[in-house]
Amino acid sequence: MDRMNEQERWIMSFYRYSEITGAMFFARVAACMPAGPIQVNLNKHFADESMHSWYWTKAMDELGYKPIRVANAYQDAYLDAGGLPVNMMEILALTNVFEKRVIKQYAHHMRIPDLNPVIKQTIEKIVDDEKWHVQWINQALKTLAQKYGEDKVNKKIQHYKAADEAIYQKFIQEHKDRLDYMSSTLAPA
Amino acid sequence: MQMQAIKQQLAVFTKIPVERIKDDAEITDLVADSFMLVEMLLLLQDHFSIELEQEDLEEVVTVAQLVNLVRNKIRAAQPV
Ligand SMILES: [Fe+2]
Ligand SMILES: [Fe+2]
Repeated sequence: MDRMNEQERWIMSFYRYSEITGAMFFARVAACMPAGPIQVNLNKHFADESMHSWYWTKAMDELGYKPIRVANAYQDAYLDAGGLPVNMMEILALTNVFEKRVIKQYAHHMRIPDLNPVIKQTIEKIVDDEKWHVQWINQALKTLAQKYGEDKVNKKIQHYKAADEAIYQKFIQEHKDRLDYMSSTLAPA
Repeated sequence: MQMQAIKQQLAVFTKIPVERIKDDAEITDLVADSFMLVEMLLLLQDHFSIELEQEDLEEVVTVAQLVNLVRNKIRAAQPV
């Protein structure tokens, strides 16, 4: 496998695993949410992330790539750096920041010249859902701000944003060799 | 009494018999991963109608510390 394909295989494996991890996280949260609008959206969110992992698996299969086992998902780094969210507001604040990072990353990827059409279509399909994820979470956070206060919600978002910046810079550094085929599109955060 | 009820909830969630949940055990040892820990904390809040925050958990390592925290939250939530 040439270097370009090796890198493509790695990043697709990484996306796939990250989507699986997202699904597992929302499965846990959706399982114990009391009934209500948040539960409904969370369950759809969980189903979406699970489908996204399937889209990547399918795309890799189509391109003849075998997924690589990824040691750590991006989400693990979040919990390490930003701490465990323990109530719904904190969970949604973290997810708000994370989903925006996902959209940014997929946008970087879309800017690779002569991007493989299978990858392009996969990202397009996923990003439609990711945009809805940001939307419903923003809405839910607005509602929760009535209970927690806007200040508290914003502080939590800022807290996770700071963690996100640090994690992303570390991620780029750590995987420099694997990301260099898309380095021209990776603007500093 | 309340402490036993809190430990009972930990037992229900983790499926570890309550008598085997030691006070000095680390809460991370009761669960397989951090996602499961989030679920356990959400269930505790729902069951006892309390609210926890990230900052509350900063000093919590052991079962006894978690039980104490939940007990204090229950007390604080009760009308005087
Ligand atoms: Fe996703
Ligand atoms: Fe998402």
